This record gives sequence, C-alpha cells and structure tokens, in this order.
Amino acid sequence: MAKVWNWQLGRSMDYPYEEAHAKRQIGWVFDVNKCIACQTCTMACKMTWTSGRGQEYMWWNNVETKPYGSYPTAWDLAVLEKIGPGVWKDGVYQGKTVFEAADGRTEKAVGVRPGDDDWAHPNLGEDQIAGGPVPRGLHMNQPTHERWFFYLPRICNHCTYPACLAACPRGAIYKRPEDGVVLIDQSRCRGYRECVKACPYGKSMFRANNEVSEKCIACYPKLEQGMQTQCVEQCIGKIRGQGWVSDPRQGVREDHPIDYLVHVRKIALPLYPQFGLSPNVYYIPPIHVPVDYLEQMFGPGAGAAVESYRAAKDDPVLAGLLQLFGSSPAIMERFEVREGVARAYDGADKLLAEVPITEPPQMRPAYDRSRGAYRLDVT
Amino acid sequence: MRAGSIALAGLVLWAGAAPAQQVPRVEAVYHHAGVPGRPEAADWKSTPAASLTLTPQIIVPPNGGGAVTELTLRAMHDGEWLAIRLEWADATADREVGVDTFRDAAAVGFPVSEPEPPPSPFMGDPDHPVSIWQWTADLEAQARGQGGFAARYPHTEGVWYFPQDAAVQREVRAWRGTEPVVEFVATGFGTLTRRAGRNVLAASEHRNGRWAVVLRRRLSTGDPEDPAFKPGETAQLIVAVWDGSRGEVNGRKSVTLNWVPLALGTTVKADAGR
Repeated sequence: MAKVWNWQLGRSMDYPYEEAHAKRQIGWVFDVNKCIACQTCTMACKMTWTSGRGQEYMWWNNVETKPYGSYPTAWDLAVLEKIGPGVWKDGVYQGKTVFEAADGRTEKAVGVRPGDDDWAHPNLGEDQIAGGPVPRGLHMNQPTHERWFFYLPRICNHCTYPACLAACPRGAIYKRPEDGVVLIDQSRCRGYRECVKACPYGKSMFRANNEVSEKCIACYPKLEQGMQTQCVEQCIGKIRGQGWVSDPRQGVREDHPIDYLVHVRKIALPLYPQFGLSPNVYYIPPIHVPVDYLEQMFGPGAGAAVESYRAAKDDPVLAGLLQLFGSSPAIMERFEVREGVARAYDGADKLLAEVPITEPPQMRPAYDRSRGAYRLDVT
Repeated sequence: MRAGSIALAGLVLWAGAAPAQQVPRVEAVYHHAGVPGRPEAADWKSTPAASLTLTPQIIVPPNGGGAVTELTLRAMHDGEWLAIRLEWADATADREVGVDTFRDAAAVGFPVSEPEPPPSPFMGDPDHPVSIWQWTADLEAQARGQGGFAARYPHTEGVWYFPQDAAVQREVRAWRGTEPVVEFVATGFGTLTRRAGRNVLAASEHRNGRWAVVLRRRLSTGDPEDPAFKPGETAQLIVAVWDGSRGEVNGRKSVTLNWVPLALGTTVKADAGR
C-alpha cells in the first residue's frame, strides 16, 4: 500500500493507490441544526435518479435519526466495530482506518455488505430520543435539552480516498480529475459488490436486475452547468451549501463559503473521519448533543465547532454566510459580508444572492382599511 | 509498477505450482454423429473423462474461492462443432442474483491465438488475450423462464416505472442475449471485457448435488477474437468455478493453475475406423 496524506486524521495513512488529487474537489456543508428530516432532499434525489426497476430500495440521499436510526441498518456501528477502538491525540488519529484494518489480500478495506433486510428500513429509529426516559414534567423543569436526537442527512461523500474505488478489482470506479466526483463506470461494472462492502457509509448500492452497482453521481449534469445538486437546491430548510474544498497544504480560500466553514472557522466537520476516506460532506454538528457522541461521529473538533456555532449570532461573517445557504440554485464561488448584508458570487463574479443578516422588523396596522379586515399577524 | 509486481508474483507462483499439479491431458474425441448440446445426453457416457484439480485464487485481491476442488472435464467434436462438458459437486443450485446473493458460475478460457509458450494462465497477459466463455446459473434460469428479479422481489412486478427505465432495460436485455453464457476477452486479472460476438451456446443441469454444463461453439467462427480449433491439434484451456451460496464471485473462485491441453481427435482416423 502507498502512503497518502489525510489532513482529517492529521497524519499519513495506507491507501492502495498513490496519492493523487482532482483539479478541485467537490464538497458540501450540511448544517445539522437546521435539518427537520422533511425528506425533500431524499425525494428530489429519488425522482431524479433512482425511479427505475431494481432501484426501489435505493436512497442515494437519505436522512436518518441519530443515534438510533441508520440506513442501511447499523452501517456506522458495523464499521466502528471492524476498525476497533481508536483515540485522537493532539488532533492526530491513533487508531486504524478501514484500509489499515484490512489484510490486503481478501479485502482492500474492511466493511460489511448489507443484506436485503438492512436496506429495507430507511426510517428505522426515526425520532427516537436518547439520554433516558422522559418523566412527566421533564420538559418543564429543564431549561436545556437533557434528552436528545438529531437528523443526519447523508449522500455519497465523494471521498478524497474512496474505499469503493480502492476495493473494485476491475478499476471500474474512478474519481473525475476535473471535480473529484466519484463514479462507477456502468459499462465496466460486473456487479461483484466489492464496493458495496467496502464503502463504510453504505452509499454504493447493487441493482440486482441489471447486475451493476450504482451510487450518487453528484448530479454531474447539473454540476457541469455550475448548478448545485438536486438535494441542495431542493432543501427547503436551506441547510445545505455546495462548493469546493481545498487541500489545506495548498492553501485555503477565505472568501469561499465551503473553505471558510471547513478550514478557516472549522465549524463544519467530516463524518467519521477515523474511517480514513477523507469524506467531503462536512457537517455543522448539532449544538444540543453530548460532545463525546459528537466527537465519535465528527472527530475531536466537535466541541469547538459547537461553541463557534453558538456564538454565530454575534459573528456577522459566519451569520451572514449561513444565511446565504439555499439562496441561489447556482454554486457559490465567492462570498462577502459587509454592513449587515451577505452576498454570493459565481465564477464570473456575477452576483448570485444578496441577503441581510437580520431583517428589519416590519409593523403593519392591526386594521386593514382597504380590505376592511383585522390582521392577526402585524409583524 | 503495480501490474508488473502482480505479474511477477503470478509467474513465480505459476512456476512453483506447475510441478505440484498433475496436468491431465484431455481428449476431445471425434464423434461423427454430431455433438450433444445437453449435459445429460447419453453420448457423454462413452466419452473419456479427465479430472482437474482446482485451487482457491490467491494471486490478486480479493483472494478467495476454493469451494470446488475437483472438476470432471469431457470434450468432443464432430468436425464442425466443439462441445465441452464440465461437471462438479455443488450441493445447492444458486440461480439467483439478489442484492446480497450470488449465483453459481463456471468459465473456460482459451488463448485467442496460439503463442509458444502459452500466455499467463491467469486470464492472459497484455500481449496475449484470452477468450473466456462464462456460464452463469442465473442466466440459465432466466433462459428457462424461471427465477429472475421478479421471483426474488415480487413487489416489483407490474409497477409503473419512469419511461427512461425502459431504455436501460433494453440495453441489459441486449447484452444478456438468450443463451446462459456470456463471452469475454481478457488480458489478465481485472480486465474481463464483454464481447459483442455471440458464438457460444450453453446448457446445464443440476442433479444429485452436481452441476453439469455443456458449452459448445463452431471450431472456427471467422471472428478474430475467437480462437480457432483444428482437428488433430492441441488447444489450451483454463477453468474457473464459483459457488454462489458461499459468496464466491469475481476473484473469489476456484481455478486451474495451469493450462490444460485439449487434444482434438482427427476426423481422418475416426472416418477410417468406421
């Protein structure tokens, strides 16, 4: 195996191929605090890409409830068990990645291949709370949330070091050099399901009638036109942003929305960085969840990210940028916040969106003379 | 670099394995009355059988296989067609490809041309392609109108799908064809590529815990990707078998470690004896 640098682990790690990077790497930021699990993203993806026969069980985009939900069943626990316990020391991961835990002969990355039953319950554990029972009056007595759950929206992470790509014995999976999108070549795939087993996120899926595997394609026909993916554009909670993630060794772009959140402010964190794939969907962790759980899921930066997010109301740049999420269907290449207004621009520096951080309050008279009616909403 | 080291490892293993494995010579006898298309045909009983030893594939990841250790090979030709009969023990007939199930399969390979010495027995090498005929139990079941996707997932039958799905399904039906065999060309492990040519016919039967499969093709097809067989000459053959219920698929397979000589009987001699 080759040694590759994984900035999310703070160290280099074993990977079956030599280190290579796309010209630029697609990336997303999902603000978990704003997700209400309405599944609009899920349905937008389903209607666009997986409405065919053999794709019934496929949800390239899904939203599950944590800690008890998972699709496919227990995808994360199964992999955590395989790689064994690992600790972080000064921001460096000391445990094993899925590649380092594999024997290299029978498999290139440890994993489990979900069965029919595991794919059959996308809503497993939905809205189930953690943290103990809810005695009568608990919600009245506690000013803060003692019981908790949160929604975790998930797509393919278009990883910098994909395990699906590493595991395919035919080289049928590739990472596009122009944008880092990970695709399965449908004409080369023979349906061996090595990628289904190797992807620790459970995002490679087998289409049994056609005997090929399929996965999220990052809506590349839209991407090539400078548009955001269906799941991002259709998100009614405006929790998602899409753009490019820099390799921190190459320098980060402070005026780019994704780089700013991931590298400058470090409030958007990778999902299970310890798997070692360097995933490129970054999550702003929920602020009401025990930090030890968040650290297991998002790495050692989770506590600091929660603190920064809590302070966002007094942080005009951060607050402004978060307002820009969902304000344009196009990919934002640059942003700025000045005098209480956040603006986003495309690659040609054309204005895409302009959003005030706080809307000035509007008062309307209680009685509308033109309609001869009283209003209930005066603000 | 990677390909080179794999090829080298393969060569060492190949050279090391050759003396240990007794390579039997298989005779494709001349049978003037035509070759049988079915494995249960009586003609096979009088045909000489050779026993091949199969071993797990341990050269490229994913290593695995080994569920089938022995295979009985018979062959005959009628001057126009070559038929090969493979038989091996497998208690379960795995005819289904589900989300997490695998089908039984068997494949034979021949060098496309006849180089001396023959190419790597591990599906050829970059300069010497190998022609591969793979029979699979799921295609066999579908050819008989059994099994298939709807049998495993009945809730998908009769459901309305988006019209663009029809185009995808047409494409899949086109490569599957009507025979339970798919033809490939390969230049080493991991290079298996489906061919447009359709020249091989296949039939199979699972009885008493054993699979028997017959693969047949014209001795010469005129297709440059098809090896030509000539009576009186010796072809070279490799075999691989997969047991689906043990999760065997792709590199997880039982294989012959060396080329097996397949001598085609002369038509002249047989005619003289008649």
